[in-house]
Amino acid sequence: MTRSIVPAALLAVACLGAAPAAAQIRVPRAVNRAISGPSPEIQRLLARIDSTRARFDRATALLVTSSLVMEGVVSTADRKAEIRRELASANEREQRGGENRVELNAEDHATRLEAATQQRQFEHQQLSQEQSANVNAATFNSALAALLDAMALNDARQLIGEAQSAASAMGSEPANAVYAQRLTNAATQQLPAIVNAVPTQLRLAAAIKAAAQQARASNQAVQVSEATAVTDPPRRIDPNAI
Amino acid sequence: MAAVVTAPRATAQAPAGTRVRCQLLSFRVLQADKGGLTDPRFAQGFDETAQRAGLHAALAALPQLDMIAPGADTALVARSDMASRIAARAFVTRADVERVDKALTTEFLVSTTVMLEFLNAASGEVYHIQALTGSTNIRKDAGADLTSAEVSQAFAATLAGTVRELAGRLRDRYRPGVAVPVIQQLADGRLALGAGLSSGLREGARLEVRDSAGQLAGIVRVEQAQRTFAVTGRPLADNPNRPWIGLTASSPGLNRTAGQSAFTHMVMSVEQRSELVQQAYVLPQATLIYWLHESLAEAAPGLNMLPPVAAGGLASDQDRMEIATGRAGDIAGQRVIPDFVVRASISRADALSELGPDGATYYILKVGLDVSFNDVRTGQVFYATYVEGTQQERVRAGERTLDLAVSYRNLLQRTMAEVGRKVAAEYAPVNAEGTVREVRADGSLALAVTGAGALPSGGILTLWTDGEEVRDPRTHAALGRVQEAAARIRVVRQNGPAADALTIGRSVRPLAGARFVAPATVGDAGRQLVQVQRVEVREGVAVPGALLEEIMQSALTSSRRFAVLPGPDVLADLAALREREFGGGGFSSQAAQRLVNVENAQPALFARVVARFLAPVAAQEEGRPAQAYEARIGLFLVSAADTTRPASSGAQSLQSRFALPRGGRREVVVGLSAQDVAKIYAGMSRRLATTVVETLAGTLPQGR
Repeated sequence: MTRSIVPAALLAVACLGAAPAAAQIRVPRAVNRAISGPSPEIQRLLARIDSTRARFDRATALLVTSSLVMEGVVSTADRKAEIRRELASANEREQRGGENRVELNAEDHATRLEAATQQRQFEHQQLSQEQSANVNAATFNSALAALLDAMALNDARQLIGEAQSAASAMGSEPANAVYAQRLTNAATQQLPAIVNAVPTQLRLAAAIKAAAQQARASNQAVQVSEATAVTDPPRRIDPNAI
Repeated sequence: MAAVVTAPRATAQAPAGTRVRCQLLSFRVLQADKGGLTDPRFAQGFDETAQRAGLHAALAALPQLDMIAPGADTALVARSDMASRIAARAFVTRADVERVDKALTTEFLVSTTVMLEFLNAASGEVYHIQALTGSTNIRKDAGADLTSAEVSQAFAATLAGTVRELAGRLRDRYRPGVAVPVIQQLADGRLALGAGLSSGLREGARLEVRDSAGQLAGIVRVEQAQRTFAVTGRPLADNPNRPWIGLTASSPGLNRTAGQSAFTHMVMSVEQRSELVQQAYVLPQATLIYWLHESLAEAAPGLNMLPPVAAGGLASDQDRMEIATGRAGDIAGQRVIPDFVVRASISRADALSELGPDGATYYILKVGLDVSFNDVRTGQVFYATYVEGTQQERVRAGERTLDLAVSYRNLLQRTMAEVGRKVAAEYAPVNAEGTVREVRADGSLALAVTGAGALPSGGILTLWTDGEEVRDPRTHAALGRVQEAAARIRVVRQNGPAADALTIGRSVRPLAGARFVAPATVGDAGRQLVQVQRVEVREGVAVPGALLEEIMQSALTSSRRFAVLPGPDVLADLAALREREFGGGGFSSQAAQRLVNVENAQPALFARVVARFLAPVAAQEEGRPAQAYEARIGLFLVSAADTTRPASSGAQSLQSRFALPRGGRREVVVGLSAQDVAKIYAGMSRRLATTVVETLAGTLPQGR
């Protein structure tokens, strides 16, 4: 949320601060529009797009961190060192990478976790206390991420149409060009990327959940029992009927 | 009860400071073909010389043994020296390592069993057996194995500990040596000895009679032991007509602690039911006998466990050659006769297994033991119980091959220990005593019964009358009268302190005033002696008939409304045992008459059992899929005197439903596979047999 809102605010402040009186005289309408910004409807639309993207980004960050935690449970010493580095830079990389990168990472992590779960590599682990706490946090975070992703997906599907319509309605007026471009970008790239990425991320969330279940179970004994019966009271029968 | 668990006390007549010379013949690892269960790694590291020296040192510390130095232990000794000399030999009968994988650790249970026999090197008579299993637990990180050095060290430490503990137990449980003067020769040539039960003499004990120079004059066996004197059979001697009074009858190794007034016991057999014992868990019978002996002796020292029937059987030919005369066959017929023999059978031994949701294989190892205590003279079952033991094992997929054989041994020994604890808590034979109050005109007898025990209808007793008087040769004070067997009688019914009886065969003496003393159970009078005559398992799932017979016998015994006579096969076994183990040597036929045989053991009622076990069917239990089982058991009691006359009958059906495990849960349920159906039905039969017998007992008039 913050990351999307702050640049827009800065942009507005920069526009206001850079507007000399002369300019106001030369293009008074444009200046007036710039000062007042887009129509409230467009503003609300942009805010909704930003908040949808923020939700998706948050979900992505949670999933990446959670998947790294889970991979750390079954990984080799080399891979563990690598994961530590990845964890340290996870948020930065996310900011640098954009949606496509996230999608690829999610696919990677999901595949790795699913394979490890299938091979029951988590079953062999005896978790340290710290790892147990991390696994619990990862499970919670991945569940939260799935929720955020689902909301982002709904919003994104709805917003794609709205953004397209709004961008068309704004026409080619230069004062609206920057907003129209943002709406066009959202409708054609950012929101469809979310729609495309969410299923993969949900798969990753499921993989994290399955892996975490197995990892947690590794510290619990499976309940083994001999078959026990529910027995009716003995019934008297005719001895000759046996 | 008190009679069973009372700890042995020092005997009155045996000098407290008596030490018997003891020669340790050998300390070996029992070979596999003799029933040895030893890990090859143990045998490799076993140094007999060093181990024998260690055992020798442990035994030398005991006050009752004067150990002959290992370097001077030649068998070539003066005959007179044999009077106070016994031999000992020891075997490691088991040494193995059980691996147990736990969540965070892998543990190794290192076990060694040592068996020490004290015997007469000249005759092979085994005086006492002390066996003990010691174990050490080693914990390592999960999945880590023991190194070979660790294995060797663990075996050495465990064996040393076992030997140490074994010697400690001997201190209280084995007091060797009895020497009593011959005080009288009876008119029929038998000898009266100047000490009885309190000095450790019991029926069947073999004694050597020596003159003042220590020269052997004859061999006798005790026929009856009373409080102040004992009577032996006629001596076996080159010159039976020589004067015997004043000579000393002695046994260097007879255990005085087994000579108290409490009952004595001997493990006779431990069978393995082939139908329900997986082949992988079949163990040598001698091994099982020793383990049960050890368990009972450990749990209830007051049982006075005599060396089991298998005693002496572990020696190889080489061992026998080392014994001075090598007459191993002489062991037979030279035993102290117990009051009760213990028979056991392993009714199930298997590993139920199932694949868990985590890919691991889960095993539940199970063993079930049926144990019964039979009166050696009448064959009657005095106590019967069933004890089951379980142990869980888990093997992760592809991790290792699980060898359950060692786990099974540990489980079986633990289960036998549980048998011992149960016996110590529940088994309580007492004496029933009485006299013949009246001999009626029709030949029937009216008995006056005293003591806490109740006589079952159909039970067999021996009547005794007073014979020759025995006097102290110095003071001429009367010590008592020799008891003479007068007749065998069958109890018809008991009603409080009065009972009716009929004689079996012809009495050899007047019966008025004759006495009886017999082991009995506490409980209501009027119990009827019943024998399971026939077991029929009708079409359906096959549960072995012999197992069902044992189950029904246990139910009848536990009901306290019936006294149980085992089936003809078991009675024949007991009779053969008498012939083979107790009746030989100089034992007189008159004394042997007291023992049961297949001819004179007869029940009041015959029990006929009919059963049907239906094939399991699909069912529902609380909305879950389940398997339903139905067992039907009928019991028909008929008069033994007239088998066409039914006494009572009853039948019941029992339905059990076993819910199937839910898929995907972390839950593994074992024991529902097709091959386990008979085991489920065996378990249901135990429950059903109890309720059928209870119901039937309620409808049966007492003392019928």
